[in-house]
Amino acid sequence: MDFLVRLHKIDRRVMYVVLAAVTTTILYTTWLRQPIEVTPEVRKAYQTVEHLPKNKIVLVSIWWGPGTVAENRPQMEAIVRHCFKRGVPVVILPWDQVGSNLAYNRVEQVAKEMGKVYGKDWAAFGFRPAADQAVLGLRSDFQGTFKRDRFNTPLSEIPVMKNVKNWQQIGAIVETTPSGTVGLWINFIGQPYKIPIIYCPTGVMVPEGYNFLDAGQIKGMLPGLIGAAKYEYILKQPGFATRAANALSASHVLIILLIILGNLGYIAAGRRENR
Amino acid sequence: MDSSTVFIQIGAIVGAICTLAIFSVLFKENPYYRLFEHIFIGLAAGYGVFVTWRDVLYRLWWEPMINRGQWWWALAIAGGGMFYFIYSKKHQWISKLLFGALFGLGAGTFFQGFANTYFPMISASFKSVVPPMDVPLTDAIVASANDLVFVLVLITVMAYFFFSIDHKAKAMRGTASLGRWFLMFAFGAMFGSTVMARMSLFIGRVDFLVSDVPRMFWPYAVGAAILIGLIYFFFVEKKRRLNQDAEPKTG
Repeated sequence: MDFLVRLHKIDRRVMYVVLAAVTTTILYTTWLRQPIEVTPEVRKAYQTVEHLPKNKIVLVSIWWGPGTVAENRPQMEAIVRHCFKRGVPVVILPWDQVGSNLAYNRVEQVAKEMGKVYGKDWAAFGFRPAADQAVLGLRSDFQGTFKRDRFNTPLSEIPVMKNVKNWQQIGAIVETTPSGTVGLWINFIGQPYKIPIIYCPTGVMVPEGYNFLDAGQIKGMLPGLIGAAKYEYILKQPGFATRAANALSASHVLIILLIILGNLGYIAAGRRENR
Repeated sequence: MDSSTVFIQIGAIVGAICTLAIFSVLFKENPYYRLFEHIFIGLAAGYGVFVTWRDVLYRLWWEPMINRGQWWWALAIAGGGMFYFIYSKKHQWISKLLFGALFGLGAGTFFQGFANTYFPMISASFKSVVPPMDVPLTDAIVASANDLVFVLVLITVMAYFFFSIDHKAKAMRGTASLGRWFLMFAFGAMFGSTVMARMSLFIGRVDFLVSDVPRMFWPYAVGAAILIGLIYFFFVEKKRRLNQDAEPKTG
């Protein structure tokens, strides 16, 4: 009983250190390698990209920044790799000031690795505010809405963009976001024109995403970092997300254990006081 | 080692210092955390201004207006300037014209969006609890059970929020109570997702500290942390002793 009561009084800093130690150890060792089970929403996302036409662009919408880079960047990277593997042109569309550079740098790295050329196989825009107006505009006049790319080159001079006039040249939308912004694409592009949307939210927004998935408003979802790990598994290209998935599971087990021990300590302390 | 690699490494070291300073709040509230918190906020604001000018204002407004003869973009200054009349009590009505127009535009797009968001969800919620006949039996039972749970949760949760009928009747009270339990399970699952998200972000930071930061940084970082800790402890301890000596002795 004393032991349980003492558990209730453990300094939270001790728990932080234990959590950090366990997470770091599992992240960089091979002690724990759990099998990855691909869930239906990730498989649907994969199959959507697998069946995309190669003469239409995939718009990768970037809402994330440094705060959620650990979750959204692996999601973006996994899908961009798949698009490059299939030869589907990718266009990066950032709505966040810092995320614009973070996304561009990573896609540039992946493109170099896979032999893809900027302008021919992919393109990127600079930061753009007022997403509502931009999305409404690009439906009917893409070139007029965006005019120039990240490097101030007119779209008419970029091979991958010069024939993109309106929604008909968009094959799919990949929404990587830490907040509830997928509704913008569903409302103005997905529902009216039946363009497939793949939703890549952070863990916080995942429960909401299942509503859209169930209603058929999105064609697939990568739920957080674990969704990126599952996508890497299907692609057979393990990366950061696959390594992190093991550390994530270990941290969850530890948190559950601490919650159980804490509650046992709380009950024991309450009983002692009542005596 | 070329200059770009050196700059990348310096950037990573600075990032590591900032990360550790922010994490120091987990130990105790301290001035290092406050300093770096303010630096981050200022940096984010400044960077935002720069990117907004480079990617938006310069490209879409300044350059067309000055270099490509599109003089009509000058009217955007007048339009944007109208916002600032909100600070004038006498001329506030000018800003209200712009706000009114924007609210109207927003309301219009909201109504279109509302239909496209919720009507498909409402129609998708009408699920059949009868097992389908064209699939294997196990799959049919699983699908039917899933749909039954969905319908049960939907009806009970809606009953909980249905205030037009008094919840005095036993059936209504029981249904609403069950709906409340389902809501609690749902919120628990959402909180669990939030915990998963936070742990993912922490793992991202750990990976940055271990993989991206040059190894040579860590001996110096540990040494500096010990030195800072000793100096801080020395001053706190000295102050505590001074306060002890200054207190009048009783007895």
